[in-house]
Amino acid sequence: MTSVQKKPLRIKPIRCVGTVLKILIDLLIALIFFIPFYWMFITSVKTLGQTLLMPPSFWVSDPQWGNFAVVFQKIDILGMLKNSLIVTAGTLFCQCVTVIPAAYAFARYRFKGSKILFGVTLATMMIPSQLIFLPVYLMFSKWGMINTYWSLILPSASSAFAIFMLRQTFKQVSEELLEAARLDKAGEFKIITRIMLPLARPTVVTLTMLTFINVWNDYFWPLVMTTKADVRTLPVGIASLRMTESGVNYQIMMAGNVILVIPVLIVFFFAQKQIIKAFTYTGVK
Amino acid sequence: MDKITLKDITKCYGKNPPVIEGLNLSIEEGSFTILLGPSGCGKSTVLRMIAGLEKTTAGDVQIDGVSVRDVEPGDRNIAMVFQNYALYPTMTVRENIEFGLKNMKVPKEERNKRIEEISEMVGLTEYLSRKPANLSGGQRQRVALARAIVKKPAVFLMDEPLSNLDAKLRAQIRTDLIELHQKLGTTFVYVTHDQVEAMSMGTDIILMESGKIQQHAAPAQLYAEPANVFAARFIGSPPMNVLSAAVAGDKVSPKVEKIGFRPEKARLMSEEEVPGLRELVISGEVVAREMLGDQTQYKLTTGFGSVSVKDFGDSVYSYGACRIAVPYKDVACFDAAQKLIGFGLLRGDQFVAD
Amino acid sequence: MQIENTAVSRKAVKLCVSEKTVSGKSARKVTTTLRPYLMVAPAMVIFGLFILYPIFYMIYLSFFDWNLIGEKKFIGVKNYTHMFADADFWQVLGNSVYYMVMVVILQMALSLLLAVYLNKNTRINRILQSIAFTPYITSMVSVAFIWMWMMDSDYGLLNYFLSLFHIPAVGWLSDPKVAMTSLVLVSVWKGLGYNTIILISAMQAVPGYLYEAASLDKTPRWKVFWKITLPMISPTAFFLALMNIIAALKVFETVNIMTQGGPVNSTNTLVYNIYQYGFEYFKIGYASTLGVALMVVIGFFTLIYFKVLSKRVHYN
Repeated sequence: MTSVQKKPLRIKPIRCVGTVLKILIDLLIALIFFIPFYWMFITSVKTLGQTLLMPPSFWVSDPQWGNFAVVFQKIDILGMLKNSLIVTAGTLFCQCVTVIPAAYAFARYRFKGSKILFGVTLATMMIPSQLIFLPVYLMFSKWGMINTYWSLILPSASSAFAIFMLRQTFKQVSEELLEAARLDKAGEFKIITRIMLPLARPTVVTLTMLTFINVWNDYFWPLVMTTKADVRTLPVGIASLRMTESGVNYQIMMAGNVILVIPVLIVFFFAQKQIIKAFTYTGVK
Repeated sequence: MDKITLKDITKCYGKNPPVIEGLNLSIEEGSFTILLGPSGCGKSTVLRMIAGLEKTTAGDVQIDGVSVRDVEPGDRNIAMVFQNYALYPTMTVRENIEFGLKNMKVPKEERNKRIEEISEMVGLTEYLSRKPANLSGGQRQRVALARAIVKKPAVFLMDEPLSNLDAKLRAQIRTDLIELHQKLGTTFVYVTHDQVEAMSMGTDIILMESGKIQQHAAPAQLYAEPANVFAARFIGSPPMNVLSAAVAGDKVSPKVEKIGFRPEKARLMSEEEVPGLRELVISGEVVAREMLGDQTQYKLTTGFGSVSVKDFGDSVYSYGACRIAVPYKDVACFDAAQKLIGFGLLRGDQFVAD
Repeated sequence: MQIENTAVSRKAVKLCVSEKTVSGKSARKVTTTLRPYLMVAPAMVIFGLFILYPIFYMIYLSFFDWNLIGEKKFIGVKNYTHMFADADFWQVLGNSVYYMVMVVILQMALSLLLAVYLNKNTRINRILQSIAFTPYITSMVSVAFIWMWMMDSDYGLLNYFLSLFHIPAVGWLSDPKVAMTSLVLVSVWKGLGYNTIILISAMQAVPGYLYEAASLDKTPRWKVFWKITLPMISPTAFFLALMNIIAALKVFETVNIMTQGGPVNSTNTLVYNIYQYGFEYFKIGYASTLGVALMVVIGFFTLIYFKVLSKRVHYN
């Protein structure tokens, strides 16, 4: 009798503690990733004085939207937005032109040297741009192309990773389908655009998203390849807010930061599943 | 007139020995020609070479007497139905049918007219806006057919198009295909390993084995006069019994190596029954019996190998000792090269082999 | 002689007759054989021009003394001897290796913990995964800005939190002993969600019957993890580790924005060092030499990865 009574008594508090602990840990994890973003938002609408308060305040009753106006005054946000869009769109376009036919050729043709060329393609994945930026910079400066969109677009005009992924997808299409298309008098171009690409749509969407986010967020390459503000992209422009004559103004930096982060956060909010899938694509082997 | 001619065709894959060597064949205009043979005999390769999907290593393919060696598959005026239908998964039924026409630059009104006609004909009108994934196997088959017919090709090529369907549907589409062939009057070339399909649909059958043509004949002739042991053993269900010529003792000429007879030409008789005139009698033992209603199939073991017999008589024979009687006129004789010499080449009134 | 002659002339006649078709044929054949090459050509040109050629150019430049304005002067291996003798180089290399080791260890350990914790496919876990993933898709500039502000030694949020527990303020970015670790934390924070989600997908790919077999044997949970989960996800974990190593060796953004290599060179890394020599001191030859050094380090880890991977695949 006693043992029967004791058992539930003992288990209940443990279970309770377990649930509470679980909630606490969940909350902690959420806060670790949430607080920095919250801190950015709240700082972006503070006055300079409010940012220097100790203890800091976690709420602002009179948001200083003017901070954003200051950002627009200090740097040419719209111009940089335009540059970001041009570079991103240009890169995407060039990658379409170079990646799709190459992936198709590697997937569907047997030709002399294909193995070597494909091996070279894979090997280039292992070479980060941080390794070769200096010689590439020198090349562009020799050609007089520093501070042009070309210097930002051309080096990433193709993607070994995209070729690899698309090739895998193209390889899965049955040969019979292509033969049927050939008998239907479809040329290679039509086969690619009307049959292969529609079938590879998930992969294409994924790769587009990856390229878009990577190019949009990129700071290193535009920083290295450009010296003038009028071709610089948004991340470089925002980063330049750090250097001001009047010391560090965190509320202005954070306001600029909000402008940089908001589009990505909005896109992420609506296409979380797709984006997470796209990025984890790289790791799933 | 010959629609398609293959001249001295050789086909090798890589550096392997050729799968087809020195093949000659001609397909008559308007015929329903079946390429029949066991899997791996090269029948699909022949079809694909006609389509231009496979290059010939040597030799020439002619359509209407003109070499098509350098004509792209899409320009050969042919249509093909594939084993797995090969429907474009991202296109609707309508787009599937229309794709070839668009590539052939058929004007829009003409396209619409043809699509309407065809979908009416194969009964797809209400499915035109569906994707292939939302169709049943039979419907997909019909889309594949419609896609071929709509191009109004001079030749239809079909590569085992029925093998993915269940038996009932297969029988139905078989009839449909015969009807279609009658209606269009164009040349059909059809690959199959199923002799029932071949016999029921074909006007010509080309029987192949390991890259060689064993016999090219009309179905009735292929059945009645198999050119060799392979043809004899491939056609018929169960196929022809082929036994060593020793079974006929000294009644056949020494040239004859093997004799054969169709199960449906033989009958069973009891030990006591007296054999008729000019009949070959073999004693054996019934080891299996299948009653099918209108007939009874027996499997017997004899001293010369196992023998199948289809008996249409009323009496049913029990398991155990039994005798098989075959009229001389139904006994095929094959020579040492396994070629048919002729029928009924046995001497004497009767022969009883034990 | 005569026979040969006729043969030749017959051939010539044949050629004449079928000239048109022959030329048409061969042109078509040429295009079909050339087609795949034409299709891969644009990509190959880009790779060749902007990845392969620059590597050789960089190696070439590493044997020269060049300040961009004057003539290139060939100096043999002097850049290399200088590099090996330079205490700064060893410090930078040490910084990079320290950063890399810390990032990889912390990243792998924390993401493994988090993956185990969030492995169960529940709604709340999926939401937490998404939240943890957010930093990964935000620009490194943003992340660096936010943490620069949070790590401010006077008004930063981190020191405020520490003060709540009566811990003295830390000079996150101003203390040479701490600054590099601070950058490590930022990097781990940014990549944790990504690594976790990859590990979770690897864990969920482990066939269920393995766990069922284990539960029939009443295997304790830690043992199940140690004996089944960990070995099954180890190829993915290795892959992630290498990705983290290479990403850590490439680190530039946080250094450039948050510390500029300081204080007292304590956060100067290989890439940042190359950037400094190339774009601030204009010592192109020496910067290239440092580039070669970075290439050797990255190549070394890539090689290890493929060795390990091929062994694993072989045993499987």
